[in-house]
Amino acid sequence: MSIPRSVYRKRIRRAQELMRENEVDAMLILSLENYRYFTGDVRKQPRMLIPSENEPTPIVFESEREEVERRTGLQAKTYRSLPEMLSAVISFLNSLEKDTPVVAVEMEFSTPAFLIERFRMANPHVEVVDAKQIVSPLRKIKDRYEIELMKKAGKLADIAMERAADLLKPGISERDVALEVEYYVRKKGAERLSFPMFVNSGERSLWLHGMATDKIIEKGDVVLIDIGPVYQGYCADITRTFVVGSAGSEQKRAHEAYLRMQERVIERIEEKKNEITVLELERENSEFMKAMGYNGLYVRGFVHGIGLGFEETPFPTIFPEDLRETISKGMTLSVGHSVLSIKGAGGFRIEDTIHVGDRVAHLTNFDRKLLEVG
Amino acid sequence: MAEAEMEFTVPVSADEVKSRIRDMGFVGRCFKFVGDVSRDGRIWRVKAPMSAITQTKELETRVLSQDPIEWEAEGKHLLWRGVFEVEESEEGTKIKVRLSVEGLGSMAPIINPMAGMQIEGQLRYFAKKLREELSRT
Repeated sequence: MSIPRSVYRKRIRRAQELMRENEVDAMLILSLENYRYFTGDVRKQPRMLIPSENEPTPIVFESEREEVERRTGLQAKTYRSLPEMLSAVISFLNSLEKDTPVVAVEMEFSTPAFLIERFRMANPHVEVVDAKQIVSPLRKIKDRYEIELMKKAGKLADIAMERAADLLKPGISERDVALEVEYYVRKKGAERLSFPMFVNSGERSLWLHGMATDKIIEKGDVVLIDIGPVYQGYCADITRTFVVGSAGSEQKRAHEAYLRMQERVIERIEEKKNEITVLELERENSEFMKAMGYNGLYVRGFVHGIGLGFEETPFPTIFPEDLRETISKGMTLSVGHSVLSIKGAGGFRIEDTIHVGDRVAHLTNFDRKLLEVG
Repeated sequence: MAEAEMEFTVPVSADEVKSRIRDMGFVGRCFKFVGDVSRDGRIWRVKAPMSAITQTKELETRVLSQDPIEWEAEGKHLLWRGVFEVEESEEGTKIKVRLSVEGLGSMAPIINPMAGMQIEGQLRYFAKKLREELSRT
């Protein structure tokens, strides 16, 4: 799908308005997510400067200039060496006619700390602030183009989970499941997975985070599979819980409780969008889990934003201040991020990607029941 | 060698300015890359990441001339030089600051291209801090 250039220009203009409101003189883009959001172009290690007035300047390797300018409609500065690249950034900053220019820099997963530290060293006269205040208000509300791309990512997530369900049987390793699923979903159109797939089996289903190891999946294992395919930069996130063999009553009860919690959250979002905060949802979840007898076994952090980033604003497990975010129309969310971890029974999650429109639309739809396989 | 210069005026007397900027401890504390100075101001301890990048943890300072005030701060792979020209003006005291920096020894080819780009920012911070500190006296 082609997004008109006017959409990118509008995003840049809105960012510049926010920069001026926040007294930020310029923003340095270092992440692919934001570079893509503002230009539609895809570069390995992108660099772009957006001043609070005037046109942004991508900074690219000399041989890429023609393509970048054609794809973005922006005039690029070029480099052939690291000093030339730094020089392009520094000369721009020195051109800002202020004693202490304020520059917003992304301080996220995708921005290595060493880059920020060296940026500060090289530009001691610059006040560095977090670009979240500029970027998050824009990116957390998706436009129709973004929703279309996320729908496609959601379909790929369903396809990937279907493939995982086919593969799960006693004797296969977690790593082989992950390998096969990733190959399959990329052949079907995913550009990549946004995070290494979780295939957490047996005791490892209790874990908060996951991966896929050489562990062989055995009869009786609970297996928690979490997949995040990316379509044209946009992520979907899906998690399902499987039992290899027949599920026990405690496993069925725990899974049912989690499913009910997810359904309740989605209902609440539908009823109270533009009013309810992430914190209120979390409180209700805690009360619900307590009433179900799972107090202390459920990990907080049920909801997070998703889009170009597989976890983005609101993202309360990393940025507690995001608990105060109101769930608003236009957001795309992952619901079911955290695990209900019960020793002896297993770990349980059902995670889906949703779009908060007039109604809540599921972008992932794979069967939500506790799946018995093998 | 990378050089940059800047001129500004502070609302204090030339004698006061001179007495402050002859103190290498005071000068060192106006640089962002200096983490700490020795009690007598002779040694400037370089902050990370600059200390790691230049492989220079300390700079030893000396005043080379009193009028204009010229100084240098030299470490294993880094040499900073500064000149302060001080002149009475209607608004107080006009100060012209000239800074230069160069890499030394085996690190010179690595440090010098970077120093050329960064000296203006270093000077802008230094001049701002110097102006603030002197105006406070």
